[in-house]
Amino acid sequence: MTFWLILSGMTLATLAFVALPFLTRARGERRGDDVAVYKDQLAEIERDLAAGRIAPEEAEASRIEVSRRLLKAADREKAGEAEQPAIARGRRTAAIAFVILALPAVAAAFYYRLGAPWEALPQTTAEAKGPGGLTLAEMIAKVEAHVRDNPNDGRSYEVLAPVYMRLGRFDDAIAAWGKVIEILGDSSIREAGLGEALVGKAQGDVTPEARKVFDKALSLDKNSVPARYYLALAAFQDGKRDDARKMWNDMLAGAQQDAAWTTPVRRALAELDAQDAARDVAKDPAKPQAAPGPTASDVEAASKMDTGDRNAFIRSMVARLADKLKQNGDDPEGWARLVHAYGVLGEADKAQAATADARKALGGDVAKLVRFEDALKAPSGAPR
Amino acid sequence: MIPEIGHYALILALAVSLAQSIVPLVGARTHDPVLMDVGTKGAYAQFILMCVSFGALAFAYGRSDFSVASVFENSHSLMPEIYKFTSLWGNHEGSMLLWVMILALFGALVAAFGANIPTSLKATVLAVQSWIAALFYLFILITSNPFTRLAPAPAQGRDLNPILQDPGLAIHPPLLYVGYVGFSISFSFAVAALIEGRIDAAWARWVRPWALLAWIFLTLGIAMGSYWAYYTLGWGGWWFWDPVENASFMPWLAGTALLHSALVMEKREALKVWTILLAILTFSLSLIGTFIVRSGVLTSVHAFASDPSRGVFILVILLLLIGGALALYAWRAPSLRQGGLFAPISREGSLVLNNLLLSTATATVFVGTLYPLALEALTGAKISVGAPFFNLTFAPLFVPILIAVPFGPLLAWKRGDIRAATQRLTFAFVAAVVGALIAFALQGKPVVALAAIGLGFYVIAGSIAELIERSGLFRVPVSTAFHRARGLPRSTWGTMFAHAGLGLTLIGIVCETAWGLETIGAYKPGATIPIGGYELKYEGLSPRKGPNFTADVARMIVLRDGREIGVMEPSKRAFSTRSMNTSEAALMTRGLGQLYVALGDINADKTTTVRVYWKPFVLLIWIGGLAMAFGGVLSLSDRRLRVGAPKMARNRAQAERTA
Repeated sequence: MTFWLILSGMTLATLAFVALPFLTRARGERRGDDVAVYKDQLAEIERDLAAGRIAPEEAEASRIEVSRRLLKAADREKAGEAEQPAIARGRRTAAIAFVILALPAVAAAFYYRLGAPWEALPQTTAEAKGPGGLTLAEMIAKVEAHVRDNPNDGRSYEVLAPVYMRLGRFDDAIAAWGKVIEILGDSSIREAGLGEALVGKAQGDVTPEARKVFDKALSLDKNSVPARYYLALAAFQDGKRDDARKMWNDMLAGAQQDAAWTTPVRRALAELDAQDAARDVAKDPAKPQAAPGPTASDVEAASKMDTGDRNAFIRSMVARLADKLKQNGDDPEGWARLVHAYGVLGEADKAQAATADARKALGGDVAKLVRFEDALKAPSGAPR
Repeated sequence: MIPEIGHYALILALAVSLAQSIVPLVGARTHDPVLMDVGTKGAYAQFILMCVSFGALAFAYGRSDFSVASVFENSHSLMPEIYKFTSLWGNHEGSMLLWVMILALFGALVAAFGANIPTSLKATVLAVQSWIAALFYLFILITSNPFTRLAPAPAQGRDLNPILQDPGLAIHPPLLYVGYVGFSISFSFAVAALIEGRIDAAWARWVRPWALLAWIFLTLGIAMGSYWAYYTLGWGGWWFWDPVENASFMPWLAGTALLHSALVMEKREALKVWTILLAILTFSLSLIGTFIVRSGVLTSVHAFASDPSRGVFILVILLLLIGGALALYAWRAPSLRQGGLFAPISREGSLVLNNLLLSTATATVFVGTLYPLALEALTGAKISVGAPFFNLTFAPLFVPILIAVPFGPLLAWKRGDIRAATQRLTFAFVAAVVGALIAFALQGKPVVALAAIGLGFYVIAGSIAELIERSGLFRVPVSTAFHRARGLPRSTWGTMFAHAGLGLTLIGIVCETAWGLETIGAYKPGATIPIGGYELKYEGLSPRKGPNFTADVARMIVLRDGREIGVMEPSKRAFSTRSMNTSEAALMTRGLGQLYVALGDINADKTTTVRVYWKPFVLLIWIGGLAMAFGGVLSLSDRRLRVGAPKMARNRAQAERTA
């Protein structure tokens, strides 16, 4: 209620302020006042002359110049004075009516469309208190303090790890999962948790390290959902599309239809189908489309797009990679990926330019240069 | 509740701007002072509403209210307070809000200080200003609303891009935006003059200070941005001809031309039509600058806004404002009254030359920046136009400008004497030779660099020439000259500082590029890195914890002639929320030069890639920029009215005196 009163108050105040000229007595119109300007200028010349800032002959020349302009301006003003039209009262009333009606109407229409007045209630923010009267940050800090004092309390690490994961603190999550496994021994769930954290850190890339971890999770429990999903994603990122498809389909086949985890799997499959369709449309069917290696969220985003959008999307991903390398060129595998990506997009010039850039950027470090050249020779989509 | 109030204030500002777009204009056409006054009140109302709106968003950022989407996406509750605030404009939505906030501020300034502008001109100007505002409010509300809410509110934000977590973000965008948006005033004045169909004497007196104000801020913004890029990107470059940099440089070049042509207009009532065109073009370039950064057509260092769908909306804005203004210009400009005549060799003539060269330089940068885009849009071919293109085309254009700079102030209005001016510049030529010789003695080759240093000295000495001339130094006793110099109008001092600043920047650029040193290598702790007479002893790495990052800090002891003169601590920071690393360079200022150390990769065996640069006189680049801006401030503070009158032909003046 207060909220709506405030909005109404703001509207009324604004309206009153803008409509103020209609209520007060009008001041006269100030016309073009060239004459005043030139008179000021003449006075200025006299002041400068008196202060010795300009020479007498200079002052004289200026005086003549200004007087000439002054005369002309005075003539113009006289000619203009004749036309002083009567002010139409009707028009003024129409204008005030327009302002008073249109202004609140526009404001109301826009706020109705865009506003979120239900959000004008007290908010849960990071500062909000959870159970026990602690904020989330305080709770984390408390558990962290606890494990510092009891470094062998694996349970606490197991509490922390998923929280870190949700907050996007992947490095902390990796460390925590590591501790859990070290202290409490491994289990499929713990290994899979570590794997997910590794993938998160690599921004969706299922790195060789992550694969090893998922393999282990799978060996501990051959039905581990995250392990199967990410290993399929790994296959996809390697360009082994049929393997990926088969693995995902197998997952669905053994699943209860309403299991929550089937959604990302279905999405991944849909993306595969969409890419195949796109490949049929593309002029050169020999070229694989998925070269730069999409991240999980990219895959998710791309699956919602049509063909044209997806090509633009892939380009934008390549551009993003190029950009990253421009800022930090210390990434031989990244450079190789960029060169491959340009090749796939059919941009031979850019691929060449990127190769040259890479050699320049890595020039200071022979070991990296070798890594780059090796990666370049590998077929596109090979494990990175 | 606060964000919703801010959101509504923004919507109300849009409603006011629509009223202000129409009512004052009707008033101006019908000479109704009441309707015209709506413009003034509307400008104040918009400013107050924008303060509320901006304040509400700032409050949401300060409190880390993650129910606001833009706060969630660009902030983190552990960030230092200053970055919580600056991350407001470290993203697309918030920065657009800052843009319109400044626009509203300028509107209110015109309303407040415009008491002596003819009423109808003022009303028209405020209406035009409001068109721009309305388009941008719509753009923000429809495509990039900073007040979009999230429900339920996330517990933690995604953090600000680490590259932007720097004090530079607190200063650079606001300065740049004041510059960009400030030119909207000269644009509005130009369009208003075209609508009114006449240019009063008051017009020129009004446009120049506004353009000057915008120019000062743009100069500072560009200089600041360049310094920020220099210390933050870790490779020691200070200008990359990056499209985003060019986007701010183009309005600067055009704005510089505008300042000079407005000078001619103010003093001599000449070049009116040209000045109007320049005013339109300068703001158009500012808009394109906004467009280039915002639309995501170009992704670059400033990649904080990449969303092509917004581009279409901005294109519409550009089309309406630039296209509309230019069409109006084509239609109305021929009917404007032309002013004073002048000889080719005169102060006016030199300013026309300045304008020609600056416009050509602007066009060059424009082509270099936009041609690759246009080509890609039309044919799909990707080419890159980099530094070589600009160095080859821009440098030859700027050399004649620099040679001409000292001549301008020494020529008289209407008809000048180039011989006399050249004589007075003798000592500037001498300074050039001396400067080049000093550089040769200290550094030796290359010859091009020596010539450029000479040019720099010439520009500086030449800028002082007018001062010496007018104070009578070397001709009258020093005390008299000193007294006279103090009595000189501030604009004369302003001209001197601004022109000398050009020379300083040039010298800085040449020294840095020709004689800068660079060493890159992988070092183990205990290694010593020699560079340019200094030695850096690498002592080792140590971990450190920041509020929202962890850092590896390298400790380097700097030795000169075996004596310890300080410690440099470059570091690498890891931000876990975004899984990003940044490299924080360490700088040590020695005189006007700087030692610059940045860390590359840290390997498992503790060897660390270190880049060390010695950059002689590099600070002159930015000191020159500051001098230019200071000159602008001096000139702005000179409230004298200016009349440009020719020197009378000598014999006539003598005749009058003897008579």
